[in-house]
Amino acid sequence: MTATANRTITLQGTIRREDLSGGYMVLVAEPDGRRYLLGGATKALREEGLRVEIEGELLADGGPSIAITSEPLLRVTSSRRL
Amino acid sequence: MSLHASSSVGRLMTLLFFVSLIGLSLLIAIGLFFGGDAPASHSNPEAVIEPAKASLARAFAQEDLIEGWIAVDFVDGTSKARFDELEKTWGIDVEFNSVASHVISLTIGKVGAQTPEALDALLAEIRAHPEVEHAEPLFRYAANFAPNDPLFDRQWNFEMVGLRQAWDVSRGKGVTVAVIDTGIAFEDRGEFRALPDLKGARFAPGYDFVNDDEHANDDHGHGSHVAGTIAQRTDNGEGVAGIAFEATLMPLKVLDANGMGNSVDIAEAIRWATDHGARVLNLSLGGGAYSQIMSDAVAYAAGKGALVVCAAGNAGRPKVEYPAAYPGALAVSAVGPSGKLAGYSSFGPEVALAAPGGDIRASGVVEHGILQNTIKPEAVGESHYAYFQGTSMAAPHVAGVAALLFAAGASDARAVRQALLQGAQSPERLVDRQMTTPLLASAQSSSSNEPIEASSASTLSAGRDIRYGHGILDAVGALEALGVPLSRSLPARVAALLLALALLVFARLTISKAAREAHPIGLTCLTGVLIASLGLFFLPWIGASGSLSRLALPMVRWPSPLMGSVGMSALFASALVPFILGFLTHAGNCPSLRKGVIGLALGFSGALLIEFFSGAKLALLPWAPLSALWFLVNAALAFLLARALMLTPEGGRR
Repeated sequence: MTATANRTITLQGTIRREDLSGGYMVLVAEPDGRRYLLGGATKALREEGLRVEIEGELLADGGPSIAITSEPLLRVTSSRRL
Repeated sequence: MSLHASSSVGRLMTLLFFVSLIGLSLLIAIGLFFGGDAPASHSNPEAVIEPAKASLARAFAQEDLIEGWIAVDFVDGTSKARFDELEKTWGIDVEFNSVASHVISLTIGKVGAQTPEALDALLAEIRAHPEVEHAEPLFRYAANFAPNDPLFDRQWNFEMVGLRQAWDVSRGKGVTVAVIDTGIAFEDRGEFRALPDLKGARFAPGYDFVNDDEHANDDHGHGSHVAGTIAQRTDNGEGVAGIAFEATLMPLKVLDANGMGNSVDIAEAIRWATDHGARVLNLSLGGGAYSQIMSDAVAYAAGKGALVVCAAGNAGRPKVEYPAAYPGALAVSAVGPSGKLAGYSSFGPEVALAAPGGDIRASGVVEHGILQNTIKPEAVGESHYAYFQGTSMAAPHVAGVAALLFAAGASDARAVRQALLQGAQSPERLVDRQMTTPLLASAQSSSSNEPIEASSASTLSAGRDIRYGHGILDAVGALEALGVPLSRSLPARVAALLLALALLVFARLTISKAAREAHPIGLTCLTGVLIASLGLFFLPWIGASGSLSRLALPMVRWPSPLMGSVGMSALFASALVPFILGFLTHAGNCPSLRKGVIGLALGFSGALLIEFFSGAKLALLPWAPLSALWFLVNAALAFLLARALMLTPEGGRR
């Protein structure tokens, strides 16, 4: 994980589908297994088990969403499959 | 001599009339007493919810056959393979009724049109088989309103909150509920399509705060599902039902296609909804970040008399997320079909109520989720019926019932909140209750050996519990806490009327002949009896709705202006009103109106006696015998007042 001054970070991990609220995708990051809600450009990330590298803006306190958890939110700007 | 004789006959006739009236009204009263007619209001939800359910079960006795269908209950554990074998010998085709039926091997099947004799013979043959416990025609139960939506029997959650009985008195008409979410699939526009089970539903103009336009269409599916729970089109022969299906939905889109949003859009939507006439706001969204702007918006809505219902959160830990944790919000935790808090549900001291949110995780059974019509996220123009779970699904149950309460005449959000909390059912009591939906019954029986975690009835009755708040949402309990005459059935009203007439005759027998002749029973007097015991019963016929419709209750159940709309007030359920009117007519020297007051007092007396017999309770009076004593004493006072007024000379003050 690399963090920059404008809170843009790059994370690697696996996409998981959460089964609450009708379903939404989260990133389970490597190596610590920390979960991130995903916002922004997520169209390519709607596949359970996908290993990806994601660059995005981090909101550590999360944001209001259908997840209704306090998990951090990663607003995706770009992503690629691993 | 002949004059004397006719007078004796008249007296005998009067006596006979009196005796038969007393007998008839006592019969009805005793029936109410033993039948457990539901009380008007209660401060202890646990103690009082049972009679209401008992009358629900009683209503189910009116059954009729569904032609061409039978139900066969095989010995428990009989497999599908086995009954497939057996059914061939009988020439029928049966299947498990639901996922729950696998446990008890309960099947239903079509046998086609048959003469009654042929059906009896077939059933007798099936019953004779040693692997069959019971076989009977399939009955339809339609005493309470039963919507014809084909998937309604999958909505265990609606039975859990007692909706069928609630629908007999309120369906949310005229109340606007804002759904602040991902939008609603409410119109055909571009790639968007109105959902088939929302066609014909009522919508107020909404707003899309994400794309800044007036078309708050859903591009996710979450908002439409939530809206469906609140007001899915019902009794339309399509799909599923919704709670307040005559209410008006206001679509406000604040979450994008990912289901994510920001605090400013949400705060704006809350204010927009409040300023555009929404009385209930549903927020099935949230997160951990505190926002002063959103908190202020919630306070604004609450201050303007709107009820802000929020999902407590899905983090499964003792911390309620925002906006549910803001002051003024009503935080809702989620239970599964067993009535136990779902593992995913957040909880904490802010939780006010629990409601069904589904729990597929606990059982692995998808039908233990909440079923509504929504769009497919991958194709926004396509409809499907999907089982969702989450506190997002629990909150709209509360929002829907809140709409029912507003439509039933609740004056403001404070009264609605109080009724919701006061009417809530204890989770333990829910587990003990007999459910008629097989799925609910089986979910309960499979979990009945495990105790309810953390909460017990005692901690709940002592106040609020961090998991369930004041208990699990109960539409029937909430309506009764509001004082809505769910149980003020026709027999109860007629009994009050007959009792009042009997008291009139009795009072006249106890005064002198001269006094009787001076005060003949006139139309004014009878009108008084009628209005007091029946209320302004004609109001609904002339289109009265809202709080006005509550005047269609017997006067003893009229709402007190001092206590808001909650509960049966000691003010009206007493001899106070007849005494004041009696004093006014006496002081004003108005003998013709006095006759009306005599009737009114007797009507109050009769109605109060019926309240006594049916075990009703006054609001804010925790100890039931105190209510009973109150009714009895005031019934006596009202009677004595009527009698005293009869003895007052026609000419004026003595």
